[in-house]
Amino acid sequence: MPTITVIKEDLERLAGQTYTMPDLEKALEYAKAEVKVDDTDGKLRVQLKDTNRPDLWSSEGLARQLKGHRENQHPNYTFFNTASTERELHVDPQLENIRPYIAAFACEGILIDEAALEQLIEAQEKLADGYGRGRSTVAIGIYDASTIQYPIQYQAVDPDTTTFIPLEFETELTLRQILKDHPIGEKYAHLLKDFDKFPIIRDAKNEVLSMPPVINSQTLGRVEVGNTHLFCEATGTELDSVLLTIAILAANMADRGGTIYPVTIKYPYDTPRGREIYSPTDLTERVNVDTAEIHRLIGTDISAQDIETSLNAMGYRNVSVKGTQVSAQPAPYRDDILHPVDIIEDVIISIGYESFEPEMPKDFTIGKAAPIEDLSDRFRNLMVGCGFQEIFSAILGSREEQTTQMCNPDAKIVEISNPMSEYYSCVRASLLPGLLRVENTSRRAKYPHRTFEVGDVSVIDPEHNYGTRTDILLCALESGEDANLSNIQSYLEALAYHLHIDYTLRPIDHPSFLSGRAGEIYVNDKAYGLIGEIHPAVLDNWGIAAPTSIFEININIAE
Amino acid sequence: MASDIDLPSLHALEIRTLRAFENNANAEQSDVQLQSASSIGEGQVRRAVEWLISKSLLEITKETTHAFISLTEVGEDFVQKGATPETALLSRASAERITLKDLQDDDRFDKGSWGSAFGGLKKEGIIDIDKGAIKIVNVDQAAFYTDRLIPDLFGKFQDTESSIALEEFAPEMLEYIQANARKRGGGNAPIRLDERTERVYHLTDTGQQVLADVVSANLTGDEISQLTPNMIQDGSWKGASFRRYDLSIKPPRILMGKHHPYRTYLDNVRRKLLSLGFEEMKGPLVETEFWNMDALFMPQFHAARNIHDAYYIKEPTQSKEAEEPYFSRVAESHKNGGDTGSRGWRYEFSAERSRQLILRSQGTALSARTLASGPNNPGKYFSIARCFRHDDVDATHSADFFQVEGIVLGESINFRSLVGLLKMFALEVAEAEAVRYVPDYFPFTEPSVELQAKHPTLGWIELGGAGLFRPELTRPLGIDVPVIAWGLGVDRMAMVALGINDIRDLFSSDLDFVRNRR
Repeated sequence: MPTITVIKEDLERLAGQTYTMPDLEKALEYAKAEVKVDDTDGKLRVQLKDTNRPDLWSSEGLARQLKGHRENQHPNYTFFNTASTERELHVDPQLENIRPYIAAFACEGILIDEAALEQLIEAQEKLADGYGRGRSTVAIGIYDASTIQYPIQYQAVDPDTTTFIPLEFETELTLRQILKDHPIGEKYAHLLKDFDKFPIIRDAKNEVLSMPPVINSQTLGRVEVGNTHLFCEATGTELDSVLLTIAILAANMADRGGTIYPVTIKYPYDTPRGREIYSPTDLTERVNVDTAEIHRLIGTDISAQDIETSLNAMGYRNVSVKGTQVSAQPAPYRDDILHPVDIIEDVIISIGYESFEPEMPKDFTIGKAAPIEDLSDRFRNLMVGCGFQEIFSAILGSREEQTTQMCNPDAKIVEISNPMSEYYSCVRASLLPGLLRVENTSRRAKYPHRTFEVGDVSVIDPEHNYGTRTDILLCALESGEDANLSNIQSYLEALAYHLHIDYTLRPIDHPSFLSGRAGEIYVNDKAYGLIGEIHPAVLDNWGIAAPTSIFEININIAE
Repeated sequence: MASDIDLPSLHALEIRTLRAFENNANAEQSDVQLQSASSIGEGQVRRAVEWLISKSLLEITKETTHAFISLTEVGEDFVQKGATPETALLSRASAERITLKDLQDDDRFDKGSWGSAFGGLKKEGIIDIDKGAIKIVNVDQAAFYTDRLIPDLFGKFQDTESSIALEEFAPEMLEYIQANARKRGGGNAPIRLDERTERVYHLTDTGQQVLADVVSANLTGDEISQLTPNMIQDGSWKGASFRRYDLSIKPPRILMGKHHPYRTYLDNVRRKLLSLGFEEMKGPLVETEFWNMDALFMPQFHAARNIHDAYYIKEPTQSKEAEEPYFSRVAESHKNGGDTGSRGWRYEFSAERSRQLILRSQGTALSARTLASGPNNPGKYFSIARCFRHDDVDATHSADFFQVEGIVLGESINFRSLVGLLKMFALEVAEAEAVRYVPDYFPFTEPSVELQAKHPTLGWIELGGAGLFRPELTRPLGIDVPVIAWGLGVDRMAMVALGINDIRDLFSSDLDFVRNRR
């Protein structure tokens, strides 16, 4: 979920209204936005919950939603899908396998003040980092357009012989040097490392605009307070994402008073949308939905007028309700309408969630516990009846706890390939380490200690489709002067009696237990668990001073 | 009664010790005297005295420290033999010509003892070797050993097994005693030198008053503290008097078997959901990306699906096979919407990615599995699922945590029943005072709602989220009716209910913490 910084005054200027904070918070709900921090310097930190609406990730986008909803009408942008002969951008055939797509527009008559510049950078970063996945699928460049000459060239060039002055530098570097010596170059070098030639954008006079997706040039690629003519481009690997980014930026600048001048992009190769693309491009398609579907989904009938008004308020265009047929075209900067339900949600949001009377689900259903959880509860209640304290521990732990600390280095456990830390790098296969951890922490707690846990573990199971299986185990532990095999077995006896478990013990040599004092718990020739006195070497590893005995069983033993 | 001592609650040992002063309440008595007057043992007198002092009934008037000599096993052996190796050596040497070899063949003492006796005497200048024979060279000093040592030191222990005060020995013995007394942890010393403190006690004014009360109440210390089965059977309880309990004193709290407080909290949530007609779902900790995300219509390029958001399994990394027919239908739904009426996400769906194994990151995975398993229609389901998210662990983030999630499906499900359900949760499960519904976003629901509830102590909090599953999700799993998906954040409510500030304490490994939490 992106969080953006918004200057409240700037937002209000764009929205055409001032807000008290509670009013603003309420109004932002329509944009699925939430104010997280209200700084005293007039800046707000706003979290955008809808990851599919990058058009809202800026002051301009939020203001458009606020104003449009208030006035039931959004701006009508006329610059989409318009051919231009004076502004062309030509693509080099070599780019097809490097970074194939580009879109662009020019903007005049916009006044870049401090607030506008800050918001411009904010929007650019959020779009490229979030929506463009760290500039890999989409990267954005914005330039002072006053000296740029068309047609603009999007080319692939030799990184070792081509040079320009990157932003914030004073000398020319080769493209490859930039990736090595410029901090921004270093940060994004991984995006170009697999290519022999690097992308570059130059104007008709061969002046370098930028090396996408890495860095602008110091000469043309600087936007400063006071600029009024801008050139914007987006490059990337997914055409529709590139086009949507440009659509959003164009709408944003138009909302700040700029006049948008389209650019015609000419490709020497086929793209999903042809070889000549008029940018900014409106990608949206008309969507049709039956009113019956709307009524059914909401659970109440609403009037054709309400449907029309609410869709207009959410920025839909050419809305028509004829009979039971609703037809509308999403705003040109949106690409999140996959299914008619998306339109219906906009209707509900626009009318207001709280306008609809809640209704209890009417269907009769029978509550039913999972049988295995019921069985868990029987074990848990019996153990509490035996005087044991229930323990509840984390499932993730370290490999050491499950293996070497148990003197059982070869124990098979499910390991995580990308752990955050070694302390949480394995899924437990046994509950025993969790109980020993309690013993380690609780040496000052009054003895005897009698503890147990019933919980999920993950065990290696090569037969299973996933290679692992989730089981529920019970582990019971007694620690204190009198802890021994026969004392802990008397509790197992109690469980076995009350749950009709007819078990036998078979002696086992196990590295975690004292030799001659450990057994495997069997029912009908199937092993269900272990019982024994913990080996002093294991107690030593855990820093436990009292004799300790345990049993651990799969609760399926009682089936 | 002058004191506020509850007479009948005095311990039998206290009564007997008080009664030792019966003949003269103003007398001073030592420990030993108290032992014989009260006819109770040394340890019991010591305990009773401590209790009486703490109640200000008794005070110490004098404390003296005495040194005492007692024998070690080696010393007892000397007494029995009537000789030490030194005395035995000197008497043989004065009577006959003996060599070291002769000594070592003498089995009254072992070779080591003979050796050190010879070495010690030679060092003192009492004996020397002359032509291979031991010769006494200082007869006066030798006399100390031959004439004095046995009768004046070891002989005194002939008729007693206890210790003898240091003052009772002749001054000439003191040097030997100091040199041969066992130091702490020492080895072969024949004697031990101990210091002992002897106290003398006196009854305080209150103590004398209490004694008078004890005497006039005819308390003897023979009052019965515990009724026994024998007494009931043989009737000896009749006419017996029982020591009364001081009811103002609380006994120690017993350590009881108890459920874990957090688990109890979750049990209550579970019971409420069962009583509201929900059926419980269970599923594996290790999931495929398919059930955890693909089946939920989360596109594979979704921001919440990168390597930094889920824990991946090291071995094996993938399931053996994709689960059909759901896999193909879900893949179509992602690519172009399939038959769901959607245009889909329009990207290359990766089958490899779909089979990757991860730790379940959201309980919604269980809802997807349930939908694919032919659920009841209408039906209501829930799970309290352990989930894992790739987060730094701190006071508000735990490596594993619980999600309470579920679904409600049926022909009658719509947006109004969705908010109705949420209202019921807020009121029934969270005991909220008021609720609000705010537009929200989840990749798998449309419309989506955030449930805000006014909590009695926390104010407005985000209690959970819900929505109607997208058709792109339900249809590939074989469901043609609307489905509500809902989830409740319980960790925070549990922390408030249990008075815990650090989420990691929900899984505390401190036994006292768990034992004492209520």
